[in-house]
Amino acid sequence: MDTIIIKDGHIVDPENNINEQLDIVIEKGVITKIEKNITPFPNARVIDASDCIVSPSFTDLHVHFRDPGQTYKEDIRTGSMAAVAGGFTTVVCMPNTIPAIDEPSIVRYVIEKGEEVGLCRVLPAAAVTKGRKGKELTEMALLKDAGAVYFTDDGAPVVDSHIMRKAMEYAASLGTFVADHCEDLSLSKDGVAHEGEIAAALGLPPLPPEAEETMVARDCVLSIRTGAPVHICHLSTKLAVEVVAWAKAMGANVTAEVTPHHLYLCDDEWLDFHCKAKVSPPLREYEDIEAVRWALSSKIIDFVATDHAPHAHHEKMLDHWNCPPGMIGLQFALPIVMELVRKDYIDMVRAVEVLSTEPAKKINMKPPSIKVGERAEFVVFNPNETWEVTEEKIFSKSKNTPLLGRKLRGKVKYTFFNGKIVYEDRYKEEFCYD
Amino acid sequence: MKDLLSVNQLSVSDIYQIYEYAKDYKDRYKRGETKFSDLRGCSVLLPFFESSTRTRTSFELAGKILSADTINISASQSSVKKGENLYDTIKTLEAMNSDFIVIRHYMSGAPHIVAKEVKSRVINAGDGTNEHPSQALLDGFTILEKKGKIEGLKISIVGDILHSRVARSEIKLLKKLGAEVTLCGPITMIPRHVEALGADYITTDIEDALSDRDVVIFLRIQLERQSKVFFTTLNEYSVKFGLNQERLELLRDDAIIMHPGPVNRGIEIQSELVYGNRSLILEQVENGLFVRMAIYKFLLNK
Repeated sequence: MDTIIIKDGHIVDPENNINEQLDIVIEKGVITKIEKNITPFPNARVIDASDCIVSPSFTDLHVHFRDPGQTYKEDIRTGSMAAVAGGFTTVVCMPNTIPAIDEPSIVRYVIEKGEEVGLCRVLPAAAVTKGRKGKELTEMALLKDAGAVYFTDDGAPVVDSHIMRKAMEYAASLGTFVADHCEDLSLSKDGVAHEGEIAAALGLPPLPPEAEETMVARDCVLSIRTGAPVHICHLSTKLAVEVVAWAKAMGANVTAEVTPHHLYLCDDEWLDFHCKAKVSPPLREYEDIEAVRWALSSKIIDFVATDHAPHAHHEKMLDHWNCPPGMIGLQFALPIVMELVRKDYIDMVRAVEVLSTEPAKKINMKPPSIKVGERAEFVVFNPNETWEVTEEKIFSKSKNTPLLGRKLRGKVKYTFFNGKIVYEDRYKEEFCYD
Repeated sequence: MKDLLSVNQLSVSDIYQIYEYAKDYKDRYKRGETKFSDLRGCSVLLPFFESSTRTRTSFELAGKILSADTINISASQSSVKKGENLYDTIKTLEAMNSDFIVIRHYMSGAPHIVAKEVKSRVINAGDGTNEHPSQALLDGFTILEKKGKIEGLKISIVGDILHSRVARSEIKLLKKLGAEVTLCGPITMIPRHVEALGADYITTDIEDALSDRDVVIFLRIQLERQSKVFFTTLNEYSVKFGLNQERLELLRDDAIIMHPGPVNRGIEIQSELVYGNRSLILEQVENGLFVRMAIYKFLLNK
């Protein structure tokens, strides 16, 4: 069917200043008309989007697709499926694969495998240091030429401050940036759970919040001194938010992201002791959740990134120390951000900014645009549809999330990429390849 | 209630019910009745993922006196660390279909995770730095036996609170039974959010913690933590926090001292005082047997 009409949806596209109910006509993958009350015509497929928001599809600058090397956890195909089911059509894969994404051929592998799958744009971030070992810089310029969109040793911090400084300066000269997983490993040690009342009461090995906060402060100072940008991954504490606010007030080129789980879950997930709650940085306290929510609203935090971190069931059943940290997130970002809209932390326009346009702009990508002449790349979602998280509905290979069995509100109905429907909910709930 | 995982699960009347059973067993045992049939036909598995002598022996002997078949499974921490995960542990234990599983694990909460998945009654014999409910129960029983009541007693717990599963269970139990609980130790061994443990007072001054107390429980210092930064030297610890003759005078005249064992002589408690007239350390070990018999019976009747 060459023609599709999206009927009665409410379009929210901050870049094009649209925030109203309009119909969209797509012919041969290209948007040809955006108007009120378009009368359906023969041979056109009509998608009823009443009760739905239509927005530019989402961009996630922080996912782990485990490909190459750990494809029993996830691969670029299953990761792409989870992405489009969550409304994302651009994802940036972290370089902590095996081997690490630290040379151009691996950058090409990720991009080409993503293109072969064809559901969404799969872009790699490359490692800051060779093998993510923190000792020598990678060939950052060549990696960038190959298609790496930014640099990070995520999963681990860049411990050596001199290397961090040089990497930030070099990345800046290439028109890109370094993103840091902020964790002072000498403070976090063998800590497992956020050092709050829950960890104290349950006798869980405590991981102090200052492990994150001191490293955030270091990176902010380096950014102020060098003038180079730095991006703070998965910001999670109230004090870390205050440090970033200070750096921004100083005029530093500091940006920060927050994960859906740090916006929604706190350390009481540990009450059953199960490692499904183990994630880095750890789940914090209510006041931290409140702080990151307000920071997202006041633009101290720039956007949402999922830190989608799949791990196999048997790995999450290891003891607290051996269990790898992380939880999946691609399919939960939308409902969690919708929760913030319902609770009036942010409005729908800001919700679309933090999921879609802001992260796209951060990597110098033109955000998807709902505009006549553009190829269709948008998401149709019902902000109020409630669904229960079950293993069957999770498209990742791994099902590691504390949200299993819970109800979430907000559901992706259709995802368009490159002019085509790449995900469709309810009627078929299947993926639409070429 | 299928399992005994945490003191939190027990109501005050549950605790006194266990004490009633324990007293009955003890009286009958002292009168020469050394074999009971309460657990005849029952199997008790004792998987211990961390070394232990007295707790394991006590649970094993308690099971045997009650006519259960007991099976020890010791897995050293190192072999477990190589690969066996909790899921396999659970499946393996489940497949053995035992009536009781008495588990000790180096990971906080492991018995909770196991208990949820198996039909057997699970008893937590110490998990990581979380809880050690049977130790708290036997300490409470010992105090009750000596003092006649627990309500209104002033009790201090001295030592490494941060890493102590005994302290976490003890505080819960003593508070439930109406005692006033003080925690004392070097600040490096007191958790940041110590208020979450539920004690009444926190102090880093040993003399504060001893003055006018009815009961003082000393916790074992883990010598293997010496190299870390939780305290400076064993000598400094013993000088600043150890019990000596002079400090003994600060206690109430009829005060008692306890220790879950094994004592590091000369560190937590000056050597001559370990089995002195104030010490209930051997009573604790003896009562451990009867309280553990009572725990089996309590769970069987639930």
